[in-house]
Parts: sequence; structure tokens; C-alpha cells
Amino acid sequence: MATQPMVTFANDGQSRIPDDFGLLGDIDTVIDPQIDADMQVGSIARFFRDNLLFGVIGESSPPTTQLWRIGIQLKGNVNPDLRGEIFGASSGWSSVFDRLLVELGRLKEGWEGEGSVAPSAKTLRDVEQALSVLPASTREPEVEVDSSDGSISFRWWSQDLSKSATLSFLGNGTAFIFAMNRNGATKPPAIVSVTDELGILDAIEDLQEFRALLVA
Amino acid sequence: MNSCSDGCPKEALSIDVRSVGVIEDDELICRASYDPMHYPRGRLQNSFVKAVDLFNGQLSVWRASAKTGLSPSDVAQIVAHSGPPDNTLKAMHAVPAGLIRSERALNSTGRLFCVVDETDIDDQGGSHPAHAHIAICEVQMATIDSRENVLFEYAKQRLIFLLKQPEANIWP
Repeated sequence: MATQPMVTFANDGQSRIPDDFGLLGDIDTVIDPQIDADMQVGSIARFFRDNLLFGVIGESSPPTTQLWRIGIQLKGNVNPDLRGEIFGASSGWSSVFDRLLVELGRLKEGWEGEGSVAPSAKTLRDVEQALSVLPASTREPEVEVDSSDGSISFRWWSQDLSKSATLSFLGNGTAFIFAMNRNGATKPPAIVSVTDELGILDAIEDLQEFRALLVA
Repeated sequence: MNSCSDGCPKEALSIDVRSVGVIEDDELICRASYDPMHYPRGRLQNSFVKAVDLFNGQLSVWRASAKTGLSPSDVAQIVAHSGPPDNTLKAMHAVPAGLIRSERALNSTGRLFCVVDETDIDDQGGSHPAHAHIAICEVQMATIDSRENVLFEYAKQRLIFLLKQPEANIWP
């Protein structure tokens, strides 16, 4: 049984990284010691691949939301149990997203009547890869599946519906990111490879309204 | 690139003698939403605007106006029985044709959509004088090589945005 991984960010000026982890030096690594004690491992939007736990620590402190990007590399071989425990420790967006993925994965061809198209395995992989990096404080979006082509849209609305932020997936390895209000697009759309985690986070940060709509 | 901001030749056509004529800017363009198709089941819902219909320039809508002599309630009665099987009409969403026509393409002053008089309601010969289509402007479509084009996806998302605005919910 693998050791329970713990990454804590305390408010006593000390950021603790367990000995099993080593920080990647070549990633934009910023760990703020002032992060509230509540912002522990559960607040890390998880993304785990090839020994790399990649995440975003989000802190909502109106009127701004701050994000820190971290990269933590596990030393040695990754035990599947360890991976599962890291996933299990996540909460917020991660748990919502996991449930969304399960529901999306259940859709089969013909789900909406004859000729309706379910999301392809490629589309689902794109979604999983791209959206797992969203901040833990991300609100549950409106999720639309287009039964004519199997594309998936994740949409976040402002309370009065005057603004929206949308991530669209067509199964071609990219995410389209739109932020709009009643006057049209607030910025040119971003087209980001789903494998470009930093690119997705940068696009969200660049589209200021987008980030504000995403988080609770 | 040409721009048809000052007038769309496609919109100026009214071919079918059964039509009440070209669509004026102040006519309400209505699209129906059906339950359960367009509402969340679990956490998922079907798209309110189908990509294939929009790509083919055939997003089906209805006209409520003095010109057609139909109110939104009248249109609701017409479409209540033409929805998908096992679905019931839940709401009508509408925006003025002029508002749809005022939308602009990305990085362009050219129009994004046209709203065209089209009485055909199916491919079995059915027609109605108050039926219409929303399509992407032909000038813009000339730059869209596939369904995966970002302008096309923006157009789809933009229509959804407009039709889901609170003031667009006109019935019931």
C-alpha cells in the first residue's frame, strides 16, 4: 500500500512538500505561503500524468481571484494506488467533473433518437485532458451535447445571463474558448491544444471575464 | 473581402408564393425548446442549436409579427405538435430579426448571420408561410472550410447566447 501523499500549504509561512515529491524547476512554480489553511490538497485541480501532478491552487478573494500554478514530480515509479489516492483527495471541481465525465461516457449512438451522435472517445479524452486543470473552485457549468455531431460545450453564465464563458470540444484535439456578453465576443476566441495545460490556464487568465465566471 | 452589411441578396429573396414576403427587422424570430430534449437530464442537455442545421444554413425558426399575423402564442400552437417524438413544447425563445442581423463576425465588420424567408418546414414537401431559416452569411461561410472552424463554432455559441437571454423567453 502506498504512502498517503500529502501536500499542504499552511498559513504559518511554511509550505510543506513531502519528501516523496520534488518540485519541477522549469515550470512556473509559485507557492504562496499566505494561502489559507483551507487551501490544501483538495483545492488542487488535479492533473496527473507521467509522474507529474500538475495543478492549480485557486484562491477566491473578491474582487480578484488568484491562481498559482505548480508542478510536482513524483520520484520513482508511480504506484496506481498513490495515483488513486491523489485523485480521491480532490474535491470541488474535481468531483463535479468526475461525475460529468461519467454521464458523458454513458451516452451511446442514438442517445437522442435515431441518427443522434454521441461524443466520441476522442472528444471525451480531449475534455478530460483539458478541463482537469480548472481551478477547484470552478462552478458546475451548463453542459450541452450536440446530438448532430457529438460535440460538447461547457458553459458558465453570469447570474443575469448577460455574460457567458464557453469551452467547446469537437474531438479534434483542441478546445475553443469563448467569452461573450450582449455586445459580442469580449475578446478573440482562444484555440488551445488540449495537451497544452498551461495554454488553457493562460487563456482563462487572459480572458478576465472568463475566469470570473468560472469560479464560485 | 466583400461585406453584405448593407443588404443581403439572399434575404431580399422571397421565392415561394405562399410566403408573406421578406423578413423585416422588427419581426420576432422564434425557436422552440422541447422537454426533455433541450433540458438537463442528469447534468447533460442537448444543444439548443444543432451544428449540422446551422452548417447547412437551415436552422429552423418561425416568424411572429404583424406581417405573418401570428403572435408568439400562435407560433407555439403551430410548433407544439411538430417537435421530436415523446417531447412536449416547453418554451419559445425569440429575438428580433434585426438583432440577429446586427451580429458581426469575428475580426470583421461583416455580418455573421442572415435570416431568410424559407417556407419549407421539412423535406417531405411541408411548408408554412411563417417559417424561416437562420444561416451564416454566405460571405462568412466562404471562409469556413469545415465544422471545426472557430468562426463557425462562435456563430453557433452566439446564437445560443442570444436565444437564452431572459428577454428572449417569450412564451409561455
